[in-house]
Amino acid sequence: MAQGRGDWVIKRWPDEELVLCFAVLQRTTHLLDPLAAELLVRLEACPLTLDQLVADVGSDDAQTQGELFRNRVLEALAALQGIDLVGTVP
Amino acid sequence: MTLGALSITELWSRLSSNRLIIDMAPFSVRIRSTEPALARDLRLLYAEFPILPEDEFADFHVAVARDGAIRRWIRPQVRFFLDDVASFVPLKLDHAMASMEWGLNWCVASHCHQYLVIHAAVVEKHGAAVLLPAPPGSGKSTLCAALVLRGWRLLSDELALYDPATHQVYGMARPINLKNRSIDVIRAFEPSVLMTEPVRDTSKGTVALLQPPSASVRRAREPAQARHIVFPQFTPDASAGLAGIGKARACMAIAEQSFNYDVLGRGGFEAVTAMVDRCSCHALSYGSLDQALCIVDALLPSAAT
Repeated sequence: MAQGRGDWVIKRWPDEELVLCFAVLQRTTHLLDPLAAELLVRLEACPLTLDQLVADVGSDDAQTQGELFRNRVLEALAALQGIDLVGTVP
Repeated sequence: MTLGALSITELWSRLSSNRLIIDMAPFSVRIRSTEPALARDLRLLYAEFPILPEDEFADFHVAVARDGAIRRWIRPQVRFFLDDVASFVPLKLDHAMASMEWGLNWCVASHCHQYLVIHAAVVEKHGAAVLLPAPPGSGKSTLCAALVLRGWRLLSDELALYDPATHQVYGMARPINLKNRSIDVIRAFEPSVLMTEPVRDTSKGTVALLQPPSASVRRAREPAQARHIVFPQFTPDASAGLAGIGKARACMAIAEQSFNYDVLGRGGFEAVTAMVDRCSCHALSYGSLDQALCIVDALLPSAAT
């Protein structure tokens, strides 16, 4: 299961896809794509499995269904883990 | 009283006996040195700066003095001191003024965390400040010099001091640090400019310091509202062009050019995003100063240019 790690602040601007994220404990700043930002918000409340995340952030839209979307979520999750904003719990 | 109003004898007397305090708003600096060349260059570059009474409080106590016993006489070198503690490696004697300027930049960048300190030139016209953040070699100081020689107010060519509480930007209006080819470029651009004799073989190449305009020095206490952020990049023979930058990317670039973003933590993030919120953000590529000036002028409302 993936779990949000530490405190962070997100800054969005209208008409901009990229989201700015400041990790408070790590004192690092990151550019996130909208999907990664969405995952981060979802994981703030409680740990979730990959399937739960896919179901949570997906919609009826065909683009957010299927294996391709699952892989996008997996990549975004890996990116968040790579910058230490998300960890894993058993 | 301004530094220029002191006779050279009085200036020398104060400088060599630790009684010279220059008001470099928003800071004051007590300077000590027994180097005649430093006195000469201070007189050229800081002539319009107010000096404070000898017993006045000073934010920084600095000195530029010769290094070591033997080195005092054989190929002499100078060092920059803050609070009598030597900082940085010793430099050649003729680098004394450059050493002081770089030392002062370090003092501000590493101590003044009430501001977000950004490696950026800042110029202002009609109340709108334009920040020019850029890594060394981008043509930032050259463009800054050209702008102030064409009527923009100089706040700084090196350090933008952003006050998160008021969203105002301070400068200090100190001399502009020109390097290598930009020295001749600015001399050709405005033959009447006053600058120090170029000194060679510094860590930054050949360096000359340009006297800041009197009008800018007189207004050094006046902050300005940041309205535009322009990331300049000089490219030889390139046509000048301005391209918009997204706010998120602009924040990342500002953070990279800030000296104390990491020190300020969340406050630094909030300061950068608040500043970017209030500004238009652009990348400026230029190969000609005249073209670049037209583009920067065009950032102002048409009635104001």
